[in-house]
Amino acid sequence: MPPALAVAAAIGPLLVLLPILATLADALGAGWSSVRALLFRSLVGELLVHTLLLMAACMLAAGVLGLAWGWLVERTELPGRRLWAVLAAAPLAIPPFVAGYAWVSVASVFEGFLGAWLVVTLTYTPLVYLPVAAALRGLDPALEETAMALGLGRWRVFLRVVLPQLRPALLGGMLLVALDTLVEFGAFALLRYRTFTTTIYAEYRTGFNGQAASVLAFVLLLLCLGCLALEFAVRGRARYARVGLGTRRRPERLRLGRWRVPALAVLAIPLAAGLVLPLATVLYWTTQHAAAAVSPAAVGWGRLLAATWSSLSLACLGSGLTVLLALPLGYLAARRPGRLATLLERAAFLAMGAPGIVVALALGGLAVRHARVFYQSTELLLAAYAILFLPLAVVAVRAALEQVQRALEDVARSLGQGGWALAWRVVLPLAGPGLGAAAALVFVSVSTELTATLLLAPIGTRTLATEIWADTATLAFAAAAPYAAVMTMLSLFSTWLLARRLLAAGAA
Amino acid sequence: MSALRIEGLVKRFGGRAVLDGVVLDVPEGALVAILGASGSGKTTLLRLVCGFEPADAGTIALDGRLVSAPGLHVPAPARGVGYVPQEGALFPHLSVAANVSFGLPRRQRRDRARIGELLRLVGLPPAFAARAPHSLSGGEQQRVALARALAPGPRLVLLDEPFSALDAGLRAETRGAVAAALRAAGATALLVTHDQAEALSLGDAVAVLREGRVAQMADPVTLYRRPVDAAMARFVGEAVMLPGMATAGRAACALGLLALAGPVADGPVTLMLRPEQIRLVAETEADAVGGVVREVVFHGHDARVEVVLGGGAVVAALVPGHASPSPGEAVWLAVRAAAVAYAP
Repeated sequence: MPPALAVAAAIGPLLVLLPILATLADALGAGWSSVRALLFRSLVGELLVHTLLLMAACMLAAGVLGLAWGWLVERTELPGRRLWAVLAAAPLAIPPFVAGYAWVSVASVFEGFLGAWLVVTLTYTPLVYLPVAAALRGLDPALEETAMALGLGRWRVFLRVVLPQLRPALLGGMLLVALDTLVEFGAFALLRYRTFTTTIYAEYRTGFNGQAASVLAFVLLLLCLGCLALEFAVRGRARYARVGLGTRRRPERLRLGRWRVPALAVLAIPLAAGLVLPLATVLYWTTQHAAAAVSPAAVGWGRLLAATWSSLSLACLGSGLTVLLALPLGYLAARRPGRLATLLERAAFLAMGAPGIVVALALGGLAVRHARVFYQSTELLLAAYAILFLPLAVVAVRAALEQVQRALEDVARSLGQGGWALAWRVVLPLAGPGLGAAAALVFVSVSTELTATLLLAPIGTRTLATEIWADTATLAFAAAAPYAAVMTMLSLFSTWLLARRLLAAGAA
Repeated sequence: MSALRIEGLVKRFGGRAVLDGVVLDVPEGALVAILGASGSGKTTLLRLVCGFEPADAGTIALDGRLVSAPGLHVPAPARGVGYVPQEGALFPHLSVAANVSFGLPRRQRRDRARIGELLRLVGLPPAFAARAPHSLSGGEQQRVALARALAPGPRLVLLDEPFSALDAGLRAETRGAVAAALRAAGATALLVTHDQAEALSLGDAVAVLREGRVAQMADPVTLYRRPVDAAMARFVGEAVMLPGMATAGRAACALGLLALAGPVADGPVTLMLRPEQIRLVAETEADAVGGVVREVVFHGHDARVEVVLGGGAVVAALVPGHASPSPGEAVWLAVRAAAVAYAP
């Protein structure tokens, strides 16, 4: 293997390890006695209860709902199921803090646990629905038919044959929901529900006890990495189960009969709450004069354009950098699998367990102490984006490169095309659309990112996300609305583009 | 001069030697079939000759030029070996014309006359140039893949199971077109296959790969009629094995006294016959041996008949379909041509 490739592939994973190790060092650096004093206090216990309670409630709700959606869309004669299949994934396009802003501006009852639970569940149920639906599509109907031939009723077949096969997808999705509950910051801050992330932010903003924040960040990091490890273990077993993929018959779809209306309600009500309500609320507030807000702030076209411009340019630069770092790693994983590729890939995936607030604080701290020039610089913010979204980019880049059959590269080499000619004439044209999708995914994620942007953006840089944050924090709902509208439109449009591409690829 | 000369070639995967000292000499202009069961290392051999993977030991020389030796590995793009992978592997983003001209220097890629000529060489109309790969049938894709491999004028072309993905009718037709194109281009070719009939009918010579070595290389007739050992005899076709006793160039066995191919030392031997060497004859014929039909598998043009001989030995005979007997019938057998003798 060319050493240059290995070195290039290692840059991303090393970047990911940087904030994780820095957080560990900050938290444990001052000695065990001070760590213990900061760790075993009622605040940490209260936060644990708060966070874990919410996590459990969200996992459960998203698990039940995602399983139901997947089964209804894939296995029943649900009216309009093609449309539902797309709509059920759409809530992912609504940034949770925009949803949080919508709920809290509707009524103050949604402040606290109820709102937090609703926002996370409604936004992240697709994380369960998507893998469950895919797993249902991959099941061999012959297994269910065999079970029925052995005398099992439909319900028992579901419990004893279908559900066990869905377990990896279901549990894996639920653990991703748990992970996202742990790392969410913006929505909880707006809904005034105290979790680790909001408390870390508060400690960072108010006090100057860096170590207290670091110890909390450390606990949060441990919880996240634990979730990630569980998710990996669950998915790892799933790989075993996939033996002998062949063409399969479509399974029989269940006639819903008089259950049709309740079945539609299971999809329609949560989607209305997760998709229509935030969009409608944002639209409503844009029609209100800014003066109607509790604390009016002047929103001129100039500020809106400036915020849109900085969001777009940061998203462009961020996705460019992230995909650039992911390319050698994805190539290594797709083409030269082995111990090194696995190690680097797993190191990059650690970033999934690194909350934005932890990464931002660690990078900020490192810059202040060791590289003052980078403090409050765009470069540092871009590095944070690259760390947070590297796993996303690596998965997409690797999938894109795996689209290029190995035999095609072999043929090209036998025809005298090596190195750049091979990349330019074969790999890029074939993997190009997939690489574009990878960049688009990161682009959407960066343009809706709040936490790291809030903490690391250079003074004077205002993005759509930070403008919404600033206005909503002062209850200026109408003032926040134009930014929220632009951001949601951007996000929906990119998601639509991606979904169209994925559906087209699925049809081919 | 040999177009390809391989000596002592070794390739290991995780400690297991997939190729374990392969020796192969392919004369210029020949079409050599590499025949082997799955896992015999035939695809690995081909990938090593192409230069996709480095060898662990041994040498490969193309036209007398060493391309692989200890400390030397000429990469694939610099070897100039044509390669036709399984199922063609046409570039899906390029037209047929762009696929065929892929390996040509930039200026020649737009040379329509040359592309048309190459398509004609593999038996396709020049109008195919503008089509997309996915609009072609499997056999047509395979032919385009061959035209693409032949375009830069390689001295050696390697084909990896090129017909295995095609259905029976298409396979025969494509085989013929590919063989004709290779001869017309004057290229030396190495064709990997697990199909005995394909290897025997296509190859000027057949090399049988077994446990990582070339167990026998011979022209198809010799390979079929005089396999080196009993296992080879069974691998290249159906074989009837009978114990016998050799004396003075003939051997006595359950089918009577048989002529032997080649000189054999006197003593006990195992005799090998092909089922089509055993005929059903009239009882009156000299040296006819009696038996009872146990089983008949009727194929139409011929039938495979299992006969239990007087001594209890069972032999299989291939008889013309119109003369197929019924189970339980008493029949008389005689042997045509010589039997091959192996040490018992």
